[in-house]
Amino acid sequence: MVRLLFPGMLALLFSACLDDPDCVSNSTNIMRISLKRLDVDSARTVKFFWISASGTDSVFHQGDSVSVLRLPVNTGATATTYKFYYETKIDSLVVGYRRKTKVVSPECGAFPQYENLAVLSTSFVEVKVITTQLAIGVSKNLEIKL
Amino acid sequence: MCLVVACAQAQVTQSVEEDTVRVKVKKPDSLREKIYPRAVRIGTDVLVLALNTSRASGWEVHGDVDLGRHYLAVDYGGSSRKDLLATGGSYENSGSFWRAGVDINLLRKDPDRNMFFIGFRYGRASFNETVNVVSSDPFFGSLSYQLRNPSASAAWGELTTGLRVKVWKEFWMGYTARMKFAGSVSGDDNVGTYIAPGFGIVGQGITWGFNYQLFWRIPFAKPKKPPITAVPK
Repeated sequence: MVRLLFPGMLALLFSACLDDPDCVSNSTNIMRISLKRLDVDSARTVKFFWISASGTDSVFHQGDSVSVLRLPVNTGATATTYKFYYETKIDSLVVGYRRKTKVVSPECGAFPQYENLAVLSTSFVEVKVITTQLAIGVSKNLEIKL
Repeated sequence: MCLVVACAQAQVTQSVEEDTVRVKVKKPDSLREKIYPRAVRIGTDVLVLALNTSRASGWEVHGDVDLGRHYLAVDYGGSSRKDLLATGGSYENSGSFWRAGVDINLLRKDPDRNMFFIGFRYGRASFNETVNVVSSDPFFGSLSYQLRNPSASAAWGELTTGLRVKVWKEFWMGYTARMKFAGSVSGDDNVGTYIAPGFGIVGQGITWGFNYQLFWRIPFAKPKKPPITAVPK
């Protein structure tokens, strides 16, 4: 019994050397929004004059004709207000989220993760939350019908 | 004639088998190790103490009760650490933990009660974490903030193996290798827990531990043997 167990225990012990962490994080503060038609379930391309976000003077998608928006959430707050200037309309969207920080390792550092994404208020007819976590690889967080 | 003899022999054999009672032979009591507390062994992990630095420190005390082949084992410890992060800011963690379980001695015939054992532990930790984050964003600028888990807790299981060797009188030394699994954390609402005291890095599935320990064994009173009565000639 002992002769059988001892090599196994040693193998378990030395496999501990394979524990080094990987400096990989898929965290991002970019929210992806797909635009859909109101009447049918298909993508809609819209030409935006610009989109503004609270907490920054930068504007996004200025003069772009797009069907998918990539908008950053405010890293210093738990809610961001957006104003969409497009066609002859101005619409607004307020999203809330939780900021949670994960330390990968001292050598890799800490990365904020944005999760529990929710629509707090909007002037759009319909906004649907698809994925509540902001992460690289997530294809769609919100869906706006307009 | 032969047929009659064969039949008679068969009948005799059958009657002998019917008369035979199968008895399951039990081991005599003297060969079974009775379960009662023989000694308590108290020790500490010198490896953890030796590896203490200004960045990370910890301590552990270990105790077990000798019940024969089985040992009730309890560990208690604490740790604190502060790391500077490559992305800026820092990570701090401090807390305490305990483990409890059973070790089984695989060396059954050793006169000194030396041990090569396997065992199981259930562990729990309570701790707090603080992360000072420095981040920069091309749109929202640079930002520094602090996040805390004031009262997080963790639970896990361990498979253990190791040695306990009698060095001198009641002085013992040994090691314990630990495979820690099924770690779960609660109360980590603001900071995704990086390290749970006693368990290690959270989120990697299995973690590993190693203790190099020194013990002092305190034997209990030996059970009284029945008096030997002289047989008159």
